[in-house]
Amino acid sequence: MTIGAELACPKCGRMLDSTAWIDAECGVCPNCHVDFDFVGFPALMARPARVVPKDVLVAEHATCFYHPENQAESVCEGCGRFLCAVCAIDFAGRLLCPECIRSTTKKDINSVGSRTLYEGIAMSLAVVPLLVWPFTAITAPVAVGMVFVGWRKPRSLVAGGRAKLVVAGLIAVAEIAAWIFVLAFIWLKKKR
Amino acid sequence: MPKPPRTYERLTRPATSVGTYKSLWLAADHLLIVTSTGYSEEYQRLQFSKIRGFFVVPSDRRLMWSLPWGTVALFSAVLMVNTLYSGRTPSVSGTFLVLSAILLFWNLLLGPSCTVYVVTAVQTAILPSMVRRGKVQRVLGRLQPVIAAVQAGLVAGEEASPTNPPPSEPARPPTIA
Repeated sequence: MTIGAELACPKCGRMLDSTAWIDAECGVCPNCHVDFDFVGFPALMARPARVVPKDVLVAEHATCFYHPENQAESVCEGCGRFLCAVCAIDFAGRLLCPECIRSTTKKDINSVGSRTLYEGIAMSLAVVPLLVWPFTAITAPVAVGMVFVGWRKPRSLVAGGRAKLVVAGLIAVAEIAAWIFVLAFIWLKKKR
Repeated sequence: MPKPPRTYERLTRPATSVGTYKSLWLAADHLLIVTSTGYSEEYQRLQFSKIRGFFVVPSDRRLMWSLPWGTVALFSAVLMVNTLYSGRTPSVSGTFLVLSAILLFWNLLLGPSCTVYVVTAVQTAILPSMVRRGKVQRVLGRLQPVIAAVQAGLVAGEEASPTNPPPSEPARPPTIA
């Protein structure tokens, strides 16, 4: 199955010709001499589909929103625009136009590229300054603010709990309480 | 905000790198590589329908970890013997010997090391935290039937496209959002 397929050596990047393969599941790169195992799937032998848009032949035919010269072949599942074969993109299980892909990448769980971890920031602000404790006078209120900001923000895709945020908030509140206690104690002592 | 449904299942524990750690997660139709700094996460998705295969290449990782632990164990053993001959209790060198020996044997017990590359039409990327043969076999054993099932509709010769679905899947009627 793999012999003859266009595959490059993962180590050196050179194309692996048929002499590199011992059998369909293993081989040795003739260039860098690394021996490898390979687990192949049907997509390896599938050629990329040629996308050929259809010309508009009859004036009554619906046309692509982005290419008026092409016949519409599908409808965007995001905005409902008519699309030709070039513009209809299978994206995260939906057929979308380029514009919808651009707008969904930030909010859609299936396409978001990155997330800020407010719980990590809040925890660092609450715990790390304890090493140089006077800094907690500034960082503890900031950590509490970060907890409030992060509470309603989208969380990590893979570890979506709020427990760390709660713990960071409690530590920061404890630090603020300690500062209030110390300042009140000093003030009362001076007053006497 | 309602709790989002849990769509990802952990495949591998995080592997630490310089300032980041990477982990591998399984979803219904894709693999997710998460690169985290602790303050932000970046996501890389590998759709099952696009995965052409996995390369498993041997690596020197086991040797690279065995050497320092072995060296520490050897030096500790020499120091311990020396301390014993001088009539003292080898508490420090004994502790070092036990710790380094445990780490050395643990490293050896984990089995041969390797690097796994995933191949798609556009890239060949390293799969993070799959560095031991045993784990690789377990994870690939789980992934193989899932990917094979997703790609079952692919006919040799042409890949499915949005406007040219595979023969096993009936053509979708256009829907208006």
